Amino acid sequence: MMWLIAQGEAKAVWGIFAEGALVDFFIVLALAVLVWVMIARARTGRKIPTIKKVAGLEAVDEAIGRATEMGRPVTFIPGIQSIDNPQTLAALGIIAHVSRQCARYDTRFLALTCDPLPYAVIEEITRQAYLEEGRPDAFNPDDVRFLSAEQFAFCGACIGIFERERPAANIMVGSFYAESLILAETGSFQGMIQIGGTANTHQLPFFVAACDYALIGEEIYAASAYLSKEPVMYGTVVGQDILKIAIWLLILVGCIWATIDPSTTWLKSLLKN
Amino acid sequence: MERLMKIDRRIIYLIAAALVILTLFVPLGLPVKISDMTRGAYSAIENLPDGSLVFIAPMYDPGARGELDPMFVAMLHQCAKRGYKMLIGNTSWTLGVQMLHPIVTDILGDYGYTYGEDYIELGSKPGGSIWMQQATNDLVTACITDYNNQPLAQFPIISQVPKLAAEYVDAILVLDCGTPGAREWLTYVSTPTGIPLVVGVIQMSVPEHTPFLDSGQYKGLIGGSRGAAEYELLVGKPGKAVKSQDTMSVIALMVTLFIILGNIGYLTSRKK
Amino acid sequence: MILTVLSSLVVIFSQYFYLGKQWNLMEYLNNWFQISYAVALALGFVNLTVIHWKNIQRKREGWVFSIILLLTMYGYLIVGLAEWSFEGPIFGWIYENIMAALSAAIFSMVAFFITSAAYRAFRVRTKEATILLVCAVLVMLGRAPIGDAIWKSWLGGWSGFVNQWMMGTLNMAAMRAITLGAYVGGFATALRIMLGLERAHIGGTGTQ
Repeated sequence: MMWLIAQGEAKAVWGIFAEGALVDFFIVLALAVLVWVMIARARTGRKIPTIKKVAGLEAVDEAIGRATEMGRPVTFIPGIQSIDNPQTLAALGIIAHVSRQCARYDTRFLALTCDPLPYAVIEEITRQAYLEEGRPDAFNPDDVRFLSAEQFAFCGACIGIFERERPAANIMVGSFYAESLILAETGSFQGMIQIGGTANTHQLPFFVAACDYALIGEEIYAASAYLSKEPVMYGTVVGQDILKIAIWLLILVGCIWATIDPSTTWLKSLLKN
Repeated sequence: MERLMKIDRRIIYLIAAALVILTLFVPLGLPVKISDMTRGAYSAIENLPDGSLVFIAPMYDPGARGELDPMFVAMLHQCAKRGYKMLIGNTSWTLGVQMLHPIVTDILGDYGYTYGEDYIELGSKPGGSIWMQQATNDLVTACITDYNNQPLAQFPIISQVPKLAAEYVDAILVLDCGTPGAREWLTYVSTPTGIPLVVGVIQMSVPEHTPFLDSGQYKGLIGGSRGAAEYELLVGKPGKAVKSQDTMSVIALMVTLFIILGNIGYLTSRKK
Repeated sequence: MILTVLSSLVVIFSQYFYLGKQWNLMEYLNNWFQISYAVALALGFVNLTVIHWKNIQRKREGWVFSIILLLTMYGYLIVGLAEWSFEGPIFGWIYENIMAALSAAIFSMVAFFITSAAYRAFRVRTKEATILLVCAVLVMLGRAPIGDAIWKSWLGGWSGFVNQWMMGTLNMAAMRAITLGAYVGGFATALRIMLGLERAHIGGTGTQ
């Protein structure tokens, strides 16, 4: 470890924490504890809240069913960012479910990626799905495609695939940018049933306008729990919601305190630690 | 009347294209009112102390040139008029700095800027937010070379900026069209170091970035093509953005008209 | 799974503990990420080659375009390797005059698609849809100089207020809420992966 020593100047808080990271660490710890508690409750069979109905996620099976009836493929686009993006990770959870359903119903599943890292993972997920459904022969590795690392080249390639392969269902979940409207509108012209979801707020209006179903922000993160319907996974979503309530309370306290005493900075100083 | 609800999209595209071409040859010359938001961004840059050093980060690629190039050009003009020294570079948007290099050379050359003393182009460095954190510790180690692959340490301007910190850099001006972008600069550089941040974004990102302006985390925000036009007027160099406002006006009217027609058709069909 | 958990612990250590900052661990992690990305890019390159070569061999529909794609891909690669610089005369020319131009052209399609999407989507189906329509029209016209001209004749000095209030108050409140929810959701997803509850990223199809 000698080569790691003294690379930079870091200050210690409470002896071990990095400056500015103390509060963040405790928030991470709090969420981890919450999640463990909820998982423990689920595993012991105690009642935990369920997730409300999300129209976009309910429609996933409907979309696959439609594609199966029409004998046309299902396309999935997991966004244009790499695997270090949480939205891409959320999309992988949905791909696992969709590819399993497609394997079960013998529907062609096309995954189109803009980044080579998710491509490698998605190929493995899809192969595994077909294996688990007892259809390893039906898996076609050419149906999982890395098209281009360039945003608009990828967009052009996707449009071309929509025109040629004419999928009946298109699911776009992940991190999207300017290409989202082009993809969604082209899908709409083709008459596909479309489910669009992203946490990028600047693209949400386009998905809401052009897709049949839209998943807004955190709904994509709850998707894997929602689709798996496992109480243990629900526990993580409940933990996340409890954290949100805590943040909401903090905001409320801050607003009230700042209204009463505008010069106060104790909360800001506390959170900066 | 129900056909108003089902106008072929190709007709809409043809009309839009015709209007865009028409406004290129027949400008309407509508006045562009300057918004408080753009004026605030202009003032944030204008009111920096004399002899300031700014870091300009054009975090975009060719797709966003239409909206962000005019902002970048106006920014260079404003900073050069004020005599600020400039570091120009980005992280992860490899193709962005390449396409902007001729613009930088032309504009700063006109103001008599000397490369290496008054300004330097750092090029595009890989690493995104990691690079930004490294640059706040040691800029030379984070960059190593400039745009032309020359060792950075040889340039006089770099001796004034050992790292990205408030005592060396007076402002960071970011042009953002995606990730990594202004939010990463805010999180990893501006907030820890206290360097003021002024941001220019594409139109569709304005709602996403407005909360940071409202909270004071951004010192200024220039939004989209309209913001770019206002900024060009404030700097005194009206250019492509100002010219494009007529097209924006005409297209906005066209879309409104089609929405109204579509709803007339919809309401008529519902009555039946 | 063990690798995922260990890697997560290393990242947490590098971000939250002062020794991690002192040792600059994130720089090393980033370098490893860049290397793995380059390897994965080569894998993607191979995937493209295999798919399009099969198209050509079997003379599937559009096989001629597969030839063009492979020639372009390998040709540009060879030019880039030969010139070994973004500033190379041929590499730079192709980039500036073909890639950048095509990128801008496809991005410009968004404007046209917005018009058709707005025409199709903004209908007075419900109360909420009507409110959406009115707000969209007000904001759209407000962002263009024609809107200033129209509102000024009706509202005088209040012409900028409506647009500013809608964007700065109504819209910002909603944006903040969605952004907050999305960040907490992303946080929870990362935690799920770290705790081994979700295995999609390692090619698993299930959750634990």
